[in-house]
Amino acid sequence: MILKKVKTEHTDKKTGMVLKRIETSEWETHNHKIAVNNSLFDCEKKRIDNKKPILNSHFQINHIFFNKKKGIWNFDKVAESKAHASRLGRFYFPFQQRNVNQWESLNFQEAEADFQDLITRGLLFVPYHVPINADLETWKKRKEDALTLLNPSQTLVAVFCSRHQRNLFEEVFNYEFEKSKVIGVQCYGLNDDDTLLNLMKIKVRNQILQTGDNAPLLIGLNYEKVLRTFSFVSGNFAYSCFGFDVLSCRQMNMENLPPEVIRKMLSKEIEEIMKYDRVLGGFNHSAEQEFWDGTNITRAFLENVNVTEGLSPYQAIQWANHREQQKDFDVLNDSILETAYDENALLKYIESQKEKWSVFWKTKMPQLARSV
Amino acid sequence: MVNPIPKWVWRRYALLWKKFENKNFTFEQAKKELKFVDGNTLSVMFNELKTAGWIAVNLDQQDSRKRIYNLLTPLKIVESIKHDIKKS
Repeated sequence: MILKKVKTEHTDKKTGMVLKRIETSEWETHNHKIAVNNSLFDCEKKRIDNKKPILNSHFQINHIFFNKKKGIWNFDKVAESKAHASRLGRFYFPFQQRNVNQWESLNFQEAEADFQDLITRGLLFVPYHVPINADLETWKKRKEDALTLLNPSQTLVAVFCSRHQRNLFEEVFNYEFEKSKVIGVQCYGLNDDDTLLNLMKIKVRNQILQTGDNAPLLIGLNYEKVLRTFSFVSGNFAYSCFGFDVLSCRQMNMENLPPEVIRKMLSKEIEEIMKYDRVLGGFNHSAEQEFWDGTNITRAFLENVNVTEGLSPYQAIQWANHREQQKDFDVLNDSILETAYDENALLKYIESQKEKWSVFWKTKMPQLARSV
Repeated sequence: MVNPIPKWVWRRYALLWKKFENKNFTFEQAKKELKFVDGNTLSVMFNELKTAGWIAVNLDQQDSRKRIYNLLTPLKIVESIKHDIKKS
């Protein structure tokens, strides 16, 4: 799979959301895609074992975890997930999932070593994590050095942290925006000022794209799946509002969790599992479903659909959550296109059709507009 | 003038109407009644209702920091919409 180009198809002036067309040697698709991440890949493996169909997704992202006990990145799953993605002709991107402390301590020496480690694993898109205190001049020099190590089929992908020093971020990010085919951003909570401001800079740069412009593919990584402090809105939707085209939320590293936490997670009752609701545009529990609809939708779902074949109840819900959110993104893309002849189409859709999208948009986006 | 409201707001209006009808109520009382609706959602919902003319908002006479809400009756809303249609 060769990524040929990413072109701007339409920009909605009211919301700043952009529809892009992604063209590869194998397929063409629009943006706003939720990638197959580690946990969905685990589901897919089980589905394959049970001879069941898998997700119809063009993007697969592997979150590489840090093994705390050994103090090393665990690359074990890279080869397997890469082979799976390659069999399916998917765009494949692995990266080291860093926490805030790891980002704060990251310097160029370590970033370069991690980059070199991944170059040798036969990847087409090789992540280079940009330290949060990097300025443009230093980045240009380091990138130039790094590029000499790649073979012609490989592409360097700068991965930023949303908590990058805010006085340095815009210049480095915009430089990459002009030059790159793909950019990754590891995103943290929206209650953090640096994150909010940097994400807004991304949105502002992205929304000035005009129809026909070449654009980089923006990959949003590592954000929370459910934004609990924002009325349980879907993280995929919330972060797509800042311009991300492909999304992959934070993955749980079981290796670093204490056994009792793992036990508790695996023994979750259906009532404790959050399900995505397309009417809301966010997540809820069974108790809330019963309050509003008089039925336990999560339980009814598990009793009535066939996706459980090969999957645990928790995985079946994860699977369904992915599919439902992707359907909503497809509708969102249609609404972006509609704004070509009805400029309020998308804003109207966000503000009136889905409760949690509407609340997020009305409470968070005006704040952002003021902060620019 | 009364305007249409989003479906998700309408569902909550219906629940509040069932409980309070045209009696006054506070933000806290509404929050308790709507159980799973958080403060952010409630604020946006009241704003939608107010903008669309479905609710009257007044300051509490004892404590001016607090607001007192009063829903328009469904009948009044229907009549008002009918009236608006005739006018247009």
